[in-house]
Amino acid sequence: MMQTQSPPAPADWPKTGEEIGPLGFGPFEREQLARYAAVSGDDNPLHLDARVATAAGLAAPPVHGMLMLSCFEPALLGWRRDIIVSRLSAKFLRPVLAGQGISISGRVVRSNLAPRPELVLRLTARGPDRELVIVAEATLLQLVSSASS
Amino acid sequence: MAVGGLAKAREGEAAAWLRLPPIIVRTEAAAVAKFLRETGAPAIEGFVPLTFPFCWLTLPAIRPMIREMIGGDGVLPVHEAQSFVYERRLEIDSDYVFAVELRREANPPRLTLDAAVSTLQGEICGRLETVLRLFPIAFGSAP
Repeated sequence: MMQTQSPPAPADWPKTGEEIGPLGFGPFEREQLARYAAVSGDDNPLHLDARVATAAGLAAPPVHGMLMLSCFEPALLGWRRDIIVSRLSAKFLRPVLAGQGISISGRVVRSNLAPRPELVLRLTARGPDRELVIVAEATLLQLVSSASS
Repeated sequence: MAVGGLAKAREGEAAAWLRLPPIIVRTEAAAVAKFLRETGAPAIEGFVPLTFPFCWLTLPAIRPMIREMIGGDGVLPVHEAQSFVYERRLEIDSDYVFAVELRREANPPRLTLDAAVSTLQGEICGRLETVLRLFPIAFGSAP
Protein backbone atom coordinates (compact mmCIF):
# COMPACT_ATOMS: atom_id res chain seq x y z
CA MET A 1 0.00 0.00 0.00
CA MET A 2 1.07 3.54 -0.69
CA GLN A 3 2.79 5.43 2.08
CA THR A 4 0.67 8.36 3.21
CA GLN A 5 -0.10 10.33 6.31
CA SER A 6 -3.52 9.64 7.79
CA PRO A 7 -5.51 12.78 8.61
CA PRO A 8 -9.31 12.65 8.66
CA ALA A 9 -11.11 12.40 5.33
CA PRO A 10 -12.51 15.63 3.93
CA ALA A 11 -16.22 16.21 4.36
CA ASP A 12 -16.88 15.51 0.69
CA TRP A 13 -14.99 12.21 0.64
CA PRO A 14 -16.90 10.02 -1.85
CA LYS A 15 -19.39 7.46 -0.65
CA THR A 16 -20.11 4.00 -1.96
CA GLY A 17 -22.21 4.22 -5.07
CA GLU A 18 -20.88 7.57 -6.23
CA GLU A 19 -20.22 7.55 -9.95
CA ILE A 20 -17.72 9.28 -12.18
CA GLY A 21 -17.81 9.94 -15.88
CA PRO A 22 -18.28 9.12 -18.56
CA LEU A 23 -15.15 10.97 -19.61
CA GLY A 24 -14.06 10.91 -23.23
CA PHE A 25 -10.51 10.25 -24.44
CA GLY A 26 -9.40 10.28 -28.03
CA PRO A 27 -10.07 9.70 -30.81
CA PHE A 28 -6.65 8.09 -31.05
CA GLU A 29 -5.44 8.80 -34.54
CA ARG A 30 -2.65 6.81 -36.15
CA GLU A 31 -0.25 9.70 -35.70
CA GLN A 32 -0.83 9.55 -31.96
CA LEU A 33 -0.24 5.79 -31.95
CA ALA A 34 3.09 6.42 -33.64
CA ARG A 35 3.99 9.10 -31.10
CA TYR A 36 2.96 6.88 -28.19
CA ALA A 37 5.04 4.05 -29.64
CA ALA A 38 8.02 6.40 -29.76
CA VAL A 39 7.70 7.64 -26.19
CA SER A 40 6.77 4.30 -24.63
CA GLY A 41 8.98 2.05 -26.74
CA ASP A 42 5.97 -0.18 -27.47
CA ASP A 43 6.35 -0.34 -31.24
CA ASN A 44 4.50 -3.61 -31.74
CA PRO A 45 3.71 -3.47 -35.48
CA LEU A 46 0.16 -4.53 -34.76
CA HIS A 47 -0.46 -0.93 -33.66
CA LEU A 48 1.48 0.72 -36.44
CA ASP A 49 1.27 -1.40 -39.57
CA ALA A 50 -2.09 -1.82 -41.28
CA ARG A 51 -0.87 -5.01 -42.98
CA VAL A 52 -0.16 -6.65 -39.65
CA ALA A 53 -3.52 -5.49 -38.32
CA THR A 54 -5.21 -6.95 -41.39
CA ALA A 55 -3.38 -10.24 -40.90
CA ALA A 56 -4.70 -10.24 -37.34
CA GLY A 57 -8.23 -9.82 -38.65
CA LEU A 58 -8.65 -6.15 -37.78
CA ALA A 59 -9.91 -3.41 -40.07
CA ALA A 60 -7.29 -0.97 -38.79
CA PRO A 61 -4.41 -0.94 -36.29
CA PRO A 62 -5.70 -1.18 -32.72
CA VAL A 63 -4.88 1.44 -30.11
CA HIS A 64 -2.25 0.31 -27.62
CA GLY A 65 -3.91 -1.12 -24.54
CA MET A 66 -1.43 0.77 -22.40
CA LEU A 67 -2.29 4.06 -24.11
CA MET A 68 -5.92 3.57 -23.16
CA LEU A 69 -5.06 2.36 -19.66
CA SER A 70 -2.86 5.40 -19.19
CA CYS A 71 -6.01 7.51 -19.55
CA PHE A 72 -7.51 6.05 -16.37
CA GLU A 73 -5.26 7.94 -13.98
CA PRO A 74 -5.96 11.32 -15.66
CA ALA A 75 -9.68 10.46 -15.53
CA LEU A 76 -9.44 9.81 -11.80
CA LEU A 77 -7.36 12.92 -11.17
CA GLY A 78 -9.86 14.93 -13.19
CA TRP A 79 -12.54 13.70 -10.82
CA ARG A 80 -10.60 14.51 -7.65
CA ARG A 81 -7.18 16.05 -7.23
CA ASP A 82 -6.86 15.01 -3.60
CA ILE A 83 -6.23 11.34 -4.37
CA ILE A 84 -3.40 9.12 -5.48
CA VAL A 85 -3.89 5.88 -7.34
CA SER A 86 -2.15 3.12 -5.42
CA ARG A 87 -3.45 0.19 -7.45
CA LEU A 88 -4.85 -0.24 -10.94
CA SER A 89 -5.60 -3.57 -12.54
CA ALA A 90 -7.27 -4.06 -15.88
CA LYS A 91 -8.34 -6.59 -18.45
CA PHE A 92 -8.42 -5.72 -22.12
CA LEU A 93 -11.53 -7.20 -23.68
CA ARG A 94 -11.77 -5.82 -27.20
CA PRO A 95 -9.62 -3.74 -29.51
CA VAL A 96 -10.32 -0.08 -30.17
CA LEU A 97 -9.20 0.85 -33.64
CA ALA A 98 -7.16 3.84 -34.74
CA GLY A 99 -9.46 6.80 -35.23
CA GLN A 100 -11.77 5.75 -32.42
CA GLY A 101 -11.99 6.93 -28.83
CA ILE A 102 -13.05 5.59 -25.48
CA SER A 103 -15.20 6.81 -22.65
CA ILE A 104 -14.23 5.99 -19.07
CA SER A 105 -16.74 5.59 -16.28
CA GLY A 106 -16.46 4.45 -12.71
CA ARG A 107 -18.34 3.71 -9.53
CA VAL A 108 -17.16 3.70 -5.95
CA VAL A 109 -17.69 0.20 -4.61
CA ARG A 110 -15.99 0.71 -1.27
CA SER A 111 -15.28 3.84 0.73
CA ASN A 112 -13.28 3.59 3.93
CA LEU A 113 -12.60 6.42 6.33
CA ALA A 114 -10.43 4.49 8.74
CA PRO A 115 -7.71 3.62 9.35
CA ARG A 116 -7.26 6.09 6.53
CA PRO A 117 -9.39 7.39 3.68
CA GLU A 118 -9.43 4.85 0.87
CA LEU A 119 -11.66 4.18 -2.11
CA VAL A 120 -12.09 1.18 -4.37
CA LEU A 121 -13.59 1.90 -7.77
CA ARG A 122 -14.80 -0.34 -10.56
CA LEU A 123 -13.95 1.27 -13.85
CA THR A 124 -14.84 0.63 -17.45
CA ALA A 125 -13.81 1.94 -20.80
CA ARG A 126 -16.28 1.70 -23.64
CA GLY A 127 -15.65 2.03 -27.33
CA PRO A 128 -17.50 4.07 -29.95
CA ASP A 129 -20.49 1.72 -29.99
CA ARG A 130 -20.66 1.61 -26.19
CA GLU A 131 -19.05 -1.81 -26.24
CA LEU A 132 -16.99 -2.74 -23.21
CA VAL A 133 -13.30 -2.67 -24.06
CA ILE A 134 -11.56 -2.48 -20.66
CA VAL A 135 -12.71 -3.44 -17.19
CA ALA A 136 -10.57 -2.25 -14.31
CA GLU A 137 -10.42 -1.76 -10.60
CA ALA A 138 -8.52 0.95 -8.78
CA THR A 139 -7.64 1.69 -5.20
CA LEU A 140 -7.31 5.36 -4.33
CA LEU A 141 -5.83 6.92 -1.23
CA GLN A 142 -6.22 10.43 0.03
CA LEU A 143 -3.33 12.60 -1.06
CA VAL A 144 -1.89 14.38 1.88
CA SER A 145 0.29 17.40 1.31
CA SER A 146 3.26 17.91 3.57
CA ALA A 147 1.71 21.21 4.66
CA SER A 148 -1.29 19.43 6.18
CA SER A 149 0.57 16.62 7.88
CA MET B 1 22.86 -1.13 -16.60
CA ALA B 2 22.79 -4.65 -15.22
CA VAL B 3 23.38 -4.90 -11.51
CA GLY B 4 22.92 -8.64 -11.12
CA GLY B 5 24.24 -11.82 -12.61
CA LEU B 6 22.94 -13.87 -15.46
CA ALA B 7 19.24 -14.49 -15.81
CA LYS B 8 18.21 -17.46 -13.75
CA ALA B 9 15.09 -19.42 -13.12
CA ARG B 10 13.12 -18.70 -9.98
CA GLU B 11 13.79 -21.54 -7.60
CA GLY B 12 11.22 -23.92 -6.20
CA GLU B 13 8.44 -23.38 -8.71
CA ALA B 14 7.23 -25.80 -11.31
CA ALA B 15 6.30 -23.03 -13.75
CA ALA B 16 9.46 -21.74 -15.34
CA TRP B 17 10.00 -18.18 -14.21
CA LEU B 18 13.02 -16.55 -15.75
CA ARG B 19 14.61 -13.83 -13.69
CA LEU B 20 16.47 -11.14 -15.62
CA PRO B 21 19.36 -9.25 -14.08
CA PRO B 22 17.96 -6.14 -12.38
CA ILE B 23 18.73 -2.88 -14.13
CA ILE B 24 18.92 0.72 -13.04
CA VAL B 25 16.16 2.88 -14.53
CA ARG B 26 15.37 6.56 -14.22
CA THR B 27 12.23 8.67 -14.16
CA GLU B 28 13.87 11.22 -16.39
CA ALA B 29 11.82 14.42 -16.44
CA ALA B 30 11.97 14.84 -20.21
CA ALA B 31 10.84 11.27 -20.86
CA VAL B 32 8.03 11.59 -18.32
CA ALA B 33 6.93 14.89 -19.88
CA LYS B 34 6.72 13.28 -23.33
CA PHE B 35 4.76 10.38 -21.89
CA LEU B 36 2.35 12.79 -20.18
CA ARG B 37 1.75 14.66 -23.42
CA GLU B 38 0.76 11.51 -25.28
CA THR B 39 -1.50 10.12 -22.57
CA GLY B 40 -3.43 13.22 -21.59
CA ALA B 41 -2.24 13.19 -18.00
CA PRO B 42 -2.28 16.45 -16.04
CA ALA B 43 0.94 18.39 -15.87
CA ILE B 44 1.48 18.22 -12.13
CA GLU B 45 4.93 19.18 -10.99
CA GLY B 46 6.93 16.09 -10.09
CA PHE B 47 4.14 13.75 -11.14
CA VAL B 48 5.16 10.35 -12.52
CA PRO B 49 2.22 8.48 -14.09
CA LEU B 50 1.63 5.12 -12.53
CA THR B 51 1.81 3.45 -15.94
CA PHE B 52 5.17 5.01 -16.82
CA PRO B 53 7.28 2.03 -15.65
CA PHE B 54 5.72 -0.05 -18.42
CA CYS B 55 8.10 1.82 -20.75
CA TRP B 56 11.06 0.20 -19.01
CA LEU B 57 9.99 -3.20 -20.34
CA THR B 58 11.10 -2.02 -23.77
CA LEU B 59 14.66 -1.17 -22.72
CA PRO B 60 17.46 -3.02 -24.54
CA ALA B 61 18.41 -4.95 -21.40
CA ILE B 62 14.93 -6.47 -21.19
CA ARG B 63 13.21 -6.44 -24.53
CA PRO B 64 15.33 -9.04 -26.36
CA MET B 65 14.46 -11.66 -23.75
CA ILE B 66 10.79 -10.77 -24.02
CA ARG B 67 11.00 -11.22 -27.78
CA GLU B 68 12.78 -14.51 -27.39
CA MET B 69 10.17 -15.82 -24.98
CA ILE B 70 7.36 -14.63 -27.22
CA GLY B 71 8.75 -16.82 -29.91
CA GLY B 72 10.02 -14.46 -32.59
CA ASP B 73 8.52 -13.86 -36.00
CA GLY B 74 5.13 -15.33 -36.66
CA VAL B 75 3.84 -14.82 -33.12
CA LEU B 76 1.78 -11.78 -32.26
CA PRO B 77 1.60 -10.65 -28.61
CA VAL B 78 -1.74 -9.18 -27.58
CA HIS B 79 -2.08 -7.37 -24.28
CA GLU B 80 -4.57 -9.31 -22.16
CA ALA B 81 -4.22 -7.85 -18.67
CA GLN B 82 -2.17 -5.31 -16.76
CA SER B 83 -1.82 -4.30 -13.15
CA PHE B 84 0.15 -1.79 -11.09
CA VAL B 85 0.42 -1.77 -7.32
CA TYR B 86 2.35 0.95 -5.52
CA GLU B 87 3.60 1.21 -2.00
CA ARG B 88 5.24 4.58 -2.56
CA ARG B 89 5.10 7.17 -5.30
CA LEU B 90 7.89 7.42 -7.79
CA GLU B 91 9.83 10.66 -7.71
CA ILE B 92 10.77 12.56 -10.82
CA ASP B 93 14.40 12.45 -11.97
CA SER B 94 15.23 9.58 -9.66
CA ASP B 95 16.99 6.26 -10.12
CA TYR B 96 15.35 2.94 -9.32
CA VAL B 97 16.10 -0.74 -9.59
CA PHE B 98 13.85 -2.55 -12.04
CA ALA B 99 13.73 -6.33 -11.69
CA VAL B 100 11.76 -8.43 -14.17
CA GLU B 101 10.70 -12.04 -14.18
CA LEU B 102 9.03 -13.77 -17.11
CA ARG B 103 6.98 -16.92 -17.41
CA ARG B 104 5.91 -18.57 -20.64
CA GLU B 105 2.86 -20.80 -20.61
CA ALA B 106 2.03 -23.12 -23.46
CA ASN B 107 -1.68 -23.75 -23.19
CA PRO B 108 -3.00 -21.26 -23.96
CA PRO B 109 0.15 -19.54 -25.20
CA ARG B 110 0.80 -16.68 -22.82
CA LEU B 111 3.72 -14.65 -21.50
CA THR B 112 3.50 -13.11 -18.05
CA LEU B 113 5.94 -10.43 -16.92
CA ASP B 114 6.24 -9.58 -13.25
CA ALA B 115 8.36 -6.52 -12.48
CA ALA B 116 9.35 -4.84 -9.25
CA VAL B 117 10.48 -1.23 -8.83
CA SER B 118 12.68 -0.55 -5.82
CA THR B 119 14.78 2.28 -4.54
CA LEU B 120 18.53 1.93 -4.82
CA GLN B 121 18.44 1.11 -1.11
CA GLY B 122 16.18 -1.86 -1.79
CA GLU B 123 12.86 -0.46 -0.58
CA ILE B 124 10.03 -1.69 -2.75
CA CYS B 125 8.05 1.06 -4.51
CA GLY B 126 5.70 -0.96 -6.64
CA ARG B 127 5.06 -3.89 -8.89
CA LEU B 128 3.56 -4.34 -12.30
CA GLU B 129 2.26 -7.43 -14.02
CA THR B 130 1.80 -7.70 -17.75
CA VAL B 131 -0.03 -10.60 -19.37
CA LEU B 132 0.36 -11.13 -23.11
CA ARG B 133 -1.63 -13.68 -25.09
CA LEU B 134 0.38 -15.03 -27.98
CA PHE B 135 -1.23 -15.71 -31.32
CA PRO B 136 0.29 -17.18 -34.48
CA ILE B 137 0.12 -14.76 -37.36
CA ALA B 138 0.55 -15.52 -41.02
CA PHE B 139 2.00 -12.18 -42.02
CA GLY B 140 4.28 -9.69 -40.40
CA SER B 141 6.51 -10.15 -37.42
CA ALA B 142 6.33 -10.00 -33.67
CA PRO B 143 7.61 -6.85 -32.00
